[in-house]
This record gives sequence, structure tokens and C-alpha cells, in this order.
Amino acid sequence: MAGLQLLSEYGLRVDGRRPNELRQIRCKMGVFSQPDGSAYLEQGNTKVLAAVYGPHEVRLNRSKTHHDRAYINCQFSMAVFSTSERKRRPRGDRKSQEMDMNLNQIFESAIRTELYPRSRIDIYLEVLQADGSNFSACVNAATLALIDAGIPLKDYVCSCTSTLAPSQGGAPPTPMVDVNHVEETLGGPGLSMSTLPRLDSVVHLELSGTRLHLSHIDPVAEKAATGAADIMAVLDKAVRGHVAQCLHAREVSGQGADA
Amino acid sequence: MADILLSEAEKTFILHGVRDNVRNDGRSCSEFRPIELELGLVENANGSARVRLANTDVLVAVKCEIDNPPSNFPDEGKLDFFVDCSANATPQFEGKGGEQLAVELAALMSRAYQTRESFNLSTLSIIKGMKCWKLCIDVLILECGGSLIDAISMGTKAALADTKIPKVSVIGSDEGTLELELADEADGREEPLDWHHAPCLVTLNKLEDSLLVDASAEEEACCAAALIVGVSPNKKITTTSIPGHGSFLADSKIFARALNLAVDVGVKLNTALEAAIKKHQTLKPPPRGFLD
Amino acid sequence: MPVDHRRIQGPECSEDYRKPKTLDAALLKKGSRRADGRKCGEQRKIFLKPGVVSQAKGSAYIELDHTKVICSVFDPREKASRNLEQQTVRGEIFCEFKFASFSGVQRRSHQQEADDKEYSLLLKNALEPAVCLHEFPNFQVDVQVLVLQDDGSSLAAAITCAGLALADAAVPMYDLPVGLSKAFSGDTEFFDPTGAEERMCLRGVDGESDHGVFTIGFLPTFNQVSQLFHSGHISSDRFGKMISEVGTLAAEVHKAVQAILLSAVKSSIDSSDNSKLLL
Repeated sequence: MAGLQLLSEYGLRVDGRRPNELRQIRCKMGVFSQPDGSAYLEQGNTKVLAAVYGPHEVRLNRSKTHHDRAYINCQFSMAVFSTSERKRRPRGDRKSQEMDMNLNQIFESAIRTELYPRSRIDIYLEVLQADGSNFSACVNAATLALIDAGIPLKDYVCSCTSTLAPSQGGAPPTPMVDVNHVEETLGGPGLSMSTLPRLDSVVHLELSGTRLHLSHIDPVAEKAATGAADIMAVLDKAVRGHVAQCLHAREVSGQGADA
Repeated sequence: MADILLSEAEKTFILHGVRDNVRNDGRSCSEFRPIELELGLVENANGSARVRLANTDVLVAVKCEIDNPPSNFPDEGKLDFFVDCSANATPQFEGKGGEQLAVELAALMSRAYQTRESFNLSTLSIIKGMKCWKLCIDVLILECGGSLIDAISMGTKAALADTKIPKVSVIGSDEGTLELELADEADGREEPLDWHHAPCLVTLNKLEDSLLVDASAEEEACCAAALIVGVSPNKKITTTSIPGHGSFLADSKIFARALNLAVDVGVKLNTALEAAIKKHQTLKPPPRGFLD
Repeated sequence: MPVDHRRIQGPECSEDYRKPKTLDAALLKKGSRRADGRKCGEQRKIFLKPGVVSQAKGSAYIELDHTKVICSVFDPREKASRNLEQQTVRGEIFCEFKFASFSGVQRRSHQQEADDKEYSLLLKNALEPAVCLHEFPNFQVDVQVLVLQDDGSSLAAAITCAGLALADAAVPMYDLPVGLSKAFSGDTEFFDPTGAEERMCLRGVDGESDHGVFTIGFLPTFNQVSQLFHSGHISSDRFGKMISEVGTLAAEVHKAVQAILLSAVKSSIDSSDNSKLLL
């Protein structure tokens, strides 16, 4: 797309944000009644649904039971209509399988699996609309769904994707946080980072797209980490609001007397 | 669909209630549960709708593609159904678990829309024999709580009502290949489809002598046989099918009763759906999606 | 989709130069004979033979004029189901329905297409009520149906054929399922329609409002309808009429199937007697 610049001369991005601004995040927990925990998250125009089933008995493959911890199973799926060009297969292709593995890895480090030996926790993600940072939005939604299911976590798992706008007119290249679809496809690097913000640890780091020079890695990674910390503030507020609402509903229905 | 385990006592309870025309949640045998409908949720699609029928949640999106018309009907377009059972609904749908159900539902829907009276495919033709519109109707099942096909058929009809096809004009033909130009969004891409005759499918579950409309998952587990009937707004039946392992006595009275009930309920459902769609299209409320 | 290595693939977009035959709308006049000389309520001549496939436990071959269907039934084997938790007390029938690539005017794929999968499910729904599934818990019986030539009513023929094959395989059953099909357009009805009649009634003729094709799976002894598959645009009173006639319509086919099964059993008893004499 000749002429379309990631960062205009006024320092505005394609959708009018500043380089360190996140998109608007809206979320809701407890969307469905059948799964043990569910959540819906919108990061700008990226919309993701997460459902958690568990902890429950391992049914299919007894060989996958761990005697000392829970077995985590994630599935990443994109709806056929989520992208502007219709997708043929919602899941099962190589890219989705890779995402499944990454999600498994992230949540195995974040969930207190030692509390549920010999059991299994299923996390299912469905992307309803893909507008960049799909993976990050999925991780955030899954965190909320896990909290809704009451599964103990070491900390919130927050994820953010950042990129580097090429240098313009002599200015150094600017790292930008929370990429959207246009910025992803324009061909810059995309650094996806999932962290446990309060424990200050990184559970997953992935660089895709073009190369990133060593000297640029630090600023971009820092931007992603800050972005994740900001997202944590939003998620925390949502969780507290949801719990307050549930408590209020219980009180109103007269169940507050239960100890 | 998720397996429900019921004890004999629970089954007997449901049966006794149904004999007196009262179901577990207080409905009569021919009442639907409250239905919520929302249009225009998916921005990437030409039309979309979400239907919530108690525990059942279905999202239907329609996308338009330009394709070559079928060789034996050169002046018609194409309609393609795809059903995706998301694992969100039940862990059994993980991977390829939900494929059989998806195939069954997609086949039922394409049969219901097969005839010209349900959906006139000639309205989808762009240039006879060369180019036509192909409507890809994608159904995403988010939650299963009984009456899946009913919800899907309502969602499809609503999504078709919400669909706007861009106006197409031919600009020049270059050595046999045609150049098509799509109208811009600003230039009014309003070309709504003729969706008014689309059918709604009604599932009737047979429990002893009674017929239940919109059975919940518990009631479905008690019933011996089911009959799916596709009813169009002019009281005609577009498709029937007996799913599962049940069978019906070949008594014309039983079938007459079942079909009359199905047609009654189907026509009422069609009318209510049309009214809701019209209301939505006039009021144009901001999309709430899952955030309510 | 796995590549087919047995064929040299032609160009990707190629089509048969012939179009499927269409019917003359004048044939719709009531009282007139059909294209093949039958009356409207007449069934085509049936040829049925059990035990045609030696490797299968049971098999049957049916010919309804130009519609030819062959069915094989295999020994019960352990369920290939993924859900180990579903250790139920019922067995399962696994049906696979396939139109052979050369069965119609247009060449079909060597793998199951959408309508093959749909017919597999419909066939399964039609056969299940007839089979005593509790006799083989946790096992599944494979029913493979191949349509060698399709000239209308292939699903109905498949139901009858599969019923006979299951009986030939000694699978415990409550009844012999029989398949029937009927096409109609306006007031004219065609029992056991040919391919051209089916296509015409599915499309509908301009000016006629009601049209469609029925396929019914019927269990004659118990008078039960196991499958009622219909596509078209009709009013509900047609159904009542169809259901009340189905018993009489099925009687002829049912008698034929019973007679053939009986003679097959008799001949196998005779041959086993003869073999005892030889010893």
C-alpha cells in the first residue's frame, strides 16, 4: 500500500492512536451458562470468545493424565467469517495448531496446576472478528474465562503485541503498542509478549514478520510489557466489577446469609 | 449435542407433566422459549444475525462471493451452507468431534432452501452463464441447549434479511474476460435479498402421545422420536426429516396432527421473526453483541 | 483432500458435454403414461439378489430398471468411536453411502461429497429402528452402499437393499425395512420416479405450486415410518394422503424381499444338507 504510513507526520497511527495508546478494551465475564467459565473480550475491533471447562476427569486418553498436576488443553479457532476474506477451515491447520501449543505453554506456567492432579482443564477460544493482535486478545480473554471458572492462577496473564514503525525523516524508529490488522499486514515486525505483570515475568515471547535489529528489541519489548501491564489494570477492574455484581445479586436474592 | 443423563424418576416427572400440557418451565407443549435476535454483529460479513433461544446460542453470517454459475442452471446463483460446531458449546466438539452434527445440519439447511419458492436463486445472477453471486452462509454454534436447527433456521433467515449485496456493473470485456465493478459503500450498495419466503424449521419431539415444540435438552433425552419440518410463511412444507433412531407409527392421523401443529407453529414463528426483523431495521439499535 | 493416485488427473475444470435428461412437461397430464410406459402408481420391476459379495458377511444387489445399487454388510467390530466414556448398552450401525464416480451423467468425486454424507445419515436413520441394537453392545456393524447407476429413487433402493443385506448377514432385526419414493408436481404423482422425473419435480414446473420428492423408510410388520425425507414445496394434507397409502405401496416390495430371503435360506439349508451327505 504505497503512501500509507504507519505513523503520520503528526505522530498519529492509521486509526488515529498515539504510539503508546491501547485500543479500547471491553469485556464481559460469564457470557454462557454451560461452560464452567466464559468471557468475551473486545480489543478495538478484535472480538474473542473464551470458554473454560474444568477441572474435570480426563476422558479420552488416559495416557495424558499427569499424576501430580492438571493437564491443560487449549484450542484456538477462528470463525469462518472473522477475516475479510472468508476462511475455509476454522481450525486444524498448521498455524492454529502452533497457536494451540503456544497457549498450552502459557497457561501451564500460569495456572496452579499442582492443585488438580490427574485432572484436565480445557480452554477453547473462538475469534469472531480478527483485526490484529488476535493471539494477544485470546490470551487476555482466556485469563478472564479462567478467573470466571474459579481456577487459581499465579497472576493475570496479559498479552500485548507491539511493532516498530520505520524511521521517518531522520527520526528514530518508533515502537508502537497493540497493533491492528493494517499494521500487522504492512510488513513490519510483530513482537507478541505474554507476561505475569505483578510477578514481573514473561511467559511467552514471539517475534513474527520481518527482522528486528538487536538494538531495537529492548524498546519494543518494553513497550509490549508496558502495554501488558496497562491491560492488566483494565482486566483487574473488570474482574472486580464482575465479582461485586455477583455478590450484589446474591445479597438481593437473600443468599447472603450463607457463610 | 451434550449428553444429558436423566434418572427414571426425572423422565417420569417430565412425562406426567407433558400429559397435562405443562412442561418443566411452565410452558405448554406448543410454546417456544423466549427468543432473542440481533442483527448486524459481524462487520466483515455482508449480513449477520445472532439468535439466542434460552441456552442455545447461534451466530450466522452471510458473505457474498462472485463465482461461476452451475452449468445446468446458467441463470442462477449459488447458496452454500457451512456449519461449525465450536468447542465452546461442549468439549465433545473439540477437533473433529462436531463434524458429523455439522454435516447433518448443513445438509438439512441446504435442502430446506433448495426450491425456488423458498429462495429464488435467479436473483443472484450477474451475467447469465458467466458470473453469479455465491452466498456463503456460515453458522457458528456457540452453545447447545436443544432446538439447534430451529435456532439455525431463524438465524439464517434473519441474516439473509440483513444482507446487502453490492451493486455490480460490467465495465468492458477484454478478450473474453469480463471486468466487474462493485459499487462503493457510499454509492448505496443496497440490494436486499428476497428473504420473505425463506422457511423456518421446527423440531417436534414425540413423547408418548404428545408432541413438544422447542424441547429443552432434558426433554429431548426422554423423547423417542423427532420430526423436523421446514415451514415457509405461506403454510407450505419445504422439507421433512426424522433424525436419530426414532420411528413414527404410519398412521395418517398422527402425521396430520404433527404436521398441522408444525405448520401452525412455523407460520407464527415466521410472522414473529419478520416483525422482529422489521423492527430492528427501522429502529437500528446500536449492536450490543455479547456485552450486555 | 488426498490426491487420487490411481487416475491421471485431467484438467481441473472439465465437464461432461451431455446435459442430464429433462422431462417433457406434457407428461404431467393426468392419466397419461409415463416416459417408460408405466402408469403413475406403478413400481418399476425389481431384481433383488442376496449374497453377491463373497467377502462380506452379508450383501445384496437391487436393480430398479436403470437404478442399480449394491450393499455389503460386515461383521460386527468394536466401535471406532472416540468417546470411551460412552460405554453404552447399544450397538451402532455405521452407514457409508456412495454414488460411484460413473453413476450419473456428471462424473463424481472418488471421495464422499456432501450429498453422499447426507444420504449416509438418512440411511442410518432409516435402518436403525429395524435393527436390534442391544444385541451387540459396544460393537458396530458396517453397512457399505454403492450406487452403480443412478436413475432416480436411489435412496429408496438403498434402504431396501441394505435391509436385505442385513438379513443376509444374520444381523438380528425386528423387521425388514423397505424404501419407497414418490415424486409429484401439482396434481400428478409418480411412484418410484426415474431420475428425470425426480429432477423435474424438485425444480417444479412454472405454474404448479406444489412439487417435491418424498423418500420413506418403512417397517411393514410394525407399520412404522422410520424415515420421512422430503424436499420440495408442499402443503401438509399431501402428507396425510401419502402416509395412508404407504402401507399398500410397500406391500409389493416387502413381499418380493421376503420371498427372496426365504428362497435364499432354503437353498443354503439344501446345500449344507448336501455337503453332509458327501461326508
